[in-house]
Amino acid sequence: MAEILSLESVSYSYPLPGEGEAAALREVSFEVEPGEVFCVAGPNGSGKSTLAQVCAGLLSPTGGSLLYGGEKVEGRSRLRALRKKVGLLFQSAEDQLFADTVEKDIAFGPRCRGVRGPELDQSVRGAAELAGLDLEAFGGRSPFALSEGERRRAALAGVLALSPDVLVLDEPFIGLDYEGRTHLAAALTGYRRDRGASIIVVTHELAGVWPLADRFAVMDSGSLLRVARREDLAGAGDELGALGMQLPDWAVLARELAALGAPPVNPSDPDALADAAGSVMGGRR
Amino acid sequence: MIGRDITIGQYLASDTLLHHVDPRLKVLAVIASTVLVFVYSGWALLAFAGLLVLLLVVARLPLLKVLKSLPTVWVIAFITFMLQAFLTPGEVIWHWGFLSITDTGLSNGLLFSGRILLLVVVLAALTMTTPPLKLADALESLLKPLSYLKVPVWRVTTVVSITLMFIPNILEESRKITRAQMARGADFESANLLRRVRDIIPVLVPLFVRVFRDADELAVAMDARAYAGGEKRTRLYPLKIGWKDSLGTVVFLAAALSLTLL
Ligand SMILES: Nc1ncnc2c1ncn2[C@@H]1O[C@H](COP(=O)(O)OP(=O)(O)OP(=O)(O)O)[C@@H](O)[C@H]1O
Ligand SMILES: [Mg+2]
Repeated sequence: MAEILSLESVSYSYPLPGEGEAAALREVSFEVEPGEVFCVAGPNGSGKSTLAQVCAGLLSPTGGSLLYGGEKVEGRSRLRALRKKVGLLFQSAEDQLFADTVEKDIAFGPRCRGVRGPELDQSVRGAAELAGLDLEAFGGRSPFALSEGERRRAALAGVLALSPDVLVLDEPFIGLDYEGRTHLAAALTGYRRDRGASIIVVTHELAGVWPLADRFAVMDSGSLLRVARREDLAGAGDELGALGMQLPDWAVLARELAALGAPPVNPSDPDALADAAGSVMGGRR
Repeated sequence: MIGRDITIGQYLASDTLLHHVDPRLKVLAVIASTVLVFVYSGWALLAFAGLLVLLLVVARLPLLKVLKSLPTVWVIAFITFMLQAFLTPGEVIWHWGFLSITDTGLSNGLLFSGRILLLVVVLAALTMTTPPLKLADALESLLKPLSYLKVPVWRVTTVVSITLMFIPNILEESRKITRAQMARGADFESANLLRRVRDIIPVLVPLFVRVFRDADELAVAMDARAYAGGEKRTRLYPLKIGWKDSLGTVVFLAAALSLTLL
């Protein structure tokens, strides 16, 4: 098989102080293909962030195994190698920022890998641009004196600067304004196209990733309920509703229109939706 | 893997014998034990260590787990041992090149490293079996006499209790931040020690930012809920010393003190 990252019955339990542990992942299995945008969706506390950290090699599964490029990730050296291939944007940007200026912070990762000089400059610039961060305006500022959205962009740039083969993003759309979300969506599409990278987006809010993702994994209480293509998930509104999640309204609209005989459209394009609605209503617009 | 262990200073939600002992008695016993650990040496210290271990085994505290999870303590004890063993003058019992171990060095090394380990065990036993709030109440109650000298005891103990409460959180935060920095290139498992030390900064800075912010928020939250502290603050569970507690403590102290006779 050609998958790049796969999980085989992966379980993870957090140790609790004293005896006992809290199960956060229960026998989760799926595969992520090269160049795919894979979304992990689930309500609060369903284990998404834990899963993201397992995928990035930061938490070792307490059961089951993780495979990268068909090889089992086992032992310290394999784990370290995995961390170099997989980049993870944490749910809270504050955990990742530390340097006295944004520019130095973005440069931290590549510097750790030994990148220096003009090459370093270039990767910092490229990453900031991809993340939608204006380096001229923010490069010299302290990461702690930024707004939430600016901070998230800075943290994202710090991860992108490593140009990972697999990019794992934990709630990347939360806290971004409309411009930020559209920019991020475009940037991710571009990153995947240019680098052939796989992207795993972890979220409880489907609207942002809906147009991007090829497949969706739905999680609840640490278990994987199903992996579905976008078209299939569009019909699962009730199932998601029961979990406390929601399909984007326009995705529901597009599906209803298709059911009424309209040609399939890109649901995130309002004009196309309007045309489809018009065609269903007999040419009236 | 990082952080899958118990840590010192952490409360163990469990139900051992020691959990039921009044925290004031425990604090007194710990103070007495600390003094004794420094006063005793030789057979008396060994016997005292035996007594402590016996007590902890009877109380079913996961003693080994605690000691295993404290590599730093072992390193400190080991370094202490080595320094004592090699640097104390006395009769040489073993040597290799310019390095030599003396008999006084060996016994001093064992004594001092043993004391360190015992102290850690004693303190861990206290924090594992006493919730931070109770510990603070105990301190406040024990320090009460100082308030006649106009020392604001409750302020001190509030600070202590909040600090104790926050330690597990801070540890958890630091683990998470460590992972977050590893995700972006920091290498805490590198063979290069210099690099490992340098890479601590990316963990400390966000940790401090968090801790200060949390502290700020906590202060505001306490204000918003009209916390006033001070002498008039009442308690939901006032401390009470039962006769069993007292008897147990007295027996323990008597046994510990009788070791002087050894
Ligand atoms: N450090 C920890 N120690 C103990 N339990 C934890 C820890 N972190 C998470 N958990 C538990 O593991 C489960 C999964 O947590 P996780 O953070 O992966 O959820 P999530 O899906 O990312 O939620 P959210 O949407 O709120 O970010 C939760 O029940 C949580 O309480
Ligand atoms: Mg999460």
